[in-house]
Amino acid sequence: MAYSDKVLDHYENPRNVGRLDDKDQDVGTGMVGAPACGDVMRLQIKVNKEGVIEDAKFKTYGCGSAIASSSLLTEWVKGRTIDDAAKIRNTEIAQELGLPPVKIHCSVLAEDAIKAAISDVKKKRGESTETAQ
Amino acid sequence: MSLQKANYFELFSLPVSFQLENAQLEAAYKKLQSEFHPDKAVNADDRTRLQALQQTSMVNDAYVTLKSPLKRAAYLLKIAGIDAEEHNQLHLDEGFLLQQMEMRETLESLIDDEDLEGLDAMKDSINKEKTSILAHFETQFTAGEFVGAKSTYNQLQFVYKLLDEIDKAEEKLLDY
Repeated sequence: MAYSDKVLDHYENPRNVGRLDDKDQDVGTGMVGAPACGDVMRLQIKVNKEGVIEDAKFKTYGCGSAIASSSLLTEWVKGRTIDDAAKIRNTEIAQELGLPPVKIHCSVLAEDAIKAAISDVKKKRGESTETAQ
Repeated sequence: MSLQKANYFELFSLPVSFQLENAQLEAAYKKLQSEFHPDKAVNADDRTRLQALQQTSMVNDAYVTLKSPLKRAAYLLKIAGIDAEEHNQLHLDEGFLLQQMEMRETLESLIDDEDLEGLDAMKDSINKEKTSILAHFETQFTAGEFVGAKSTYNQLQFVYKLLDEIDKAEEKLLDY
């Protein structure tokens, strides 16, 4: 199956690959996986006091579409507020990358990852004294 | 003789169980294969030949499904009315995913270092893990804990994928 140019671009030059310090109270981590293909994805965001995402990093072990979906998403969320980022839908990712129907689940994985990262940072902030062990 | 059976286990005259005697499966497969071989229908009319072909293909599907522990697990869940492929992130244990991510990172550095011994050692340890998760699946499934068994099956999917990736890495390194 041929990948679209946009998927290939993100696959060959993934943006924002790496990791942020999970112990940082401003960092939210989303760990998700797709059992059917064995893909695992880690998406992290660093959120400032105003709720704006200052930095985003990801690491994805999976197919080109999963890598491209998470790469694109890190580009999109930077500079957005977490509330705004939570509104990103997988369909927007799939449309931007031109994902075929069989690869839609890769964009769903990316949406799940950002949601998990946002809820992680919110949880940390709600219980900042408890979680700092 | 018709192949209209309730499930693949029945087709092979095996009990519906995760525990499976390989020798029994092989023997049943060979028997059905020869019984329904399309060559036997070579002089028959189109309809009979098509039927023979379909039956052979069904016997092959059944064999492949029952032989692989991973596919067998999914098939047993299906018989129990559980859709093993439908999944929700909530069903996946975060600690397990974290561990999978770490193992993928380890694998990546072993590949970078072209460390074949390291790859072998990793494969051994993942295979041990696989054996213990398979046993866990069997316990859960036998006890009728289908929801738990499904989570365990999902973990197995990641473990099989990881083993696949290790094999691919080894093949690539050995081709040098």
